[in-house]
Amino acid sequence: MARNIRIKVARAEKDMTQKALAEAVGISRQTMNAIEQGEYNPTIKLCRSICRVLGKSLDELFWEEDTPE
Amino acid sequence: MKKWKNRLDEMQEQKMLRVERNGCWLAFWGLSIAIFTQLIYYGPDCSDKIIGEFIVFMCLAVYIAIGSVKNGIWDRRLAPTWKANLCASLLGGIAGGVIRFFIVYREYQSVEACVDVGVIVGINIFVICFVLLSIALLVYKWKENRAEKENPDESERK
Repeated sequence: MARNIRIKVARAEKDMTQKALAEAVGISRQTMNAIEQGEYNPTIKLCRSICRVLGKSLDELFWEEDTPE
Repeated sequence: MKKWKNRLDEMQEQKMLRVERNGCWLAFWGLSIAIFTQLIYYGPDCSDKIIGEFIVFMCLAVYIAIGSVKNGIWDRRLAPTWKANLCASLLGGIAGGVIRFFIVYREYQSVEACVDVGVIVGINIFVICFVLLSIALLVYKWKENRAEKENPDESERK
């Protein structure tokens, strides 16, 4: 799974640390780090929580153009 | 308010479930090895020595089997068919017969008698396994049909 740079960028735009974002969505910093590193595939529920906190859409943060269905 | 709130997030929960699953299978196979080792070491009349292990082993086996069928799950790799059940029962029968052969051979040192006992025990295990698997398959199919009727695909009606 590819690294998710877009979450990192969106987090930086909001001036949030991994810890702050993790606390806002109710997960551990290790899980947040694993999502950004592409080591963990979050559930749609968690994706939506992250999008809500960062003020982005699911497409903006999680859609991958080159991923076959 | 829940007294014992789950402190794990979804990734930790998945990892914990994986650890618990591995622990469950470790216990399952560890107990079966312990039972067979004691049967071979002490001989066929050692039921009083393995009763504890046997009860825990059977509880685990029955729980996994009933839990899977109840939730409409058969197996990761095997298909829910009579043919697969026949093959699995045959394997179980052969394994049971061979193990029984060694247990009795250790006690009486007579190949002919042990082969007879091994074959009889093997056939018994095969029949018991096939009957139990057939009952489980019927329950599984019934559960599957019921779930299909209870949750029909609305788009297929058009």
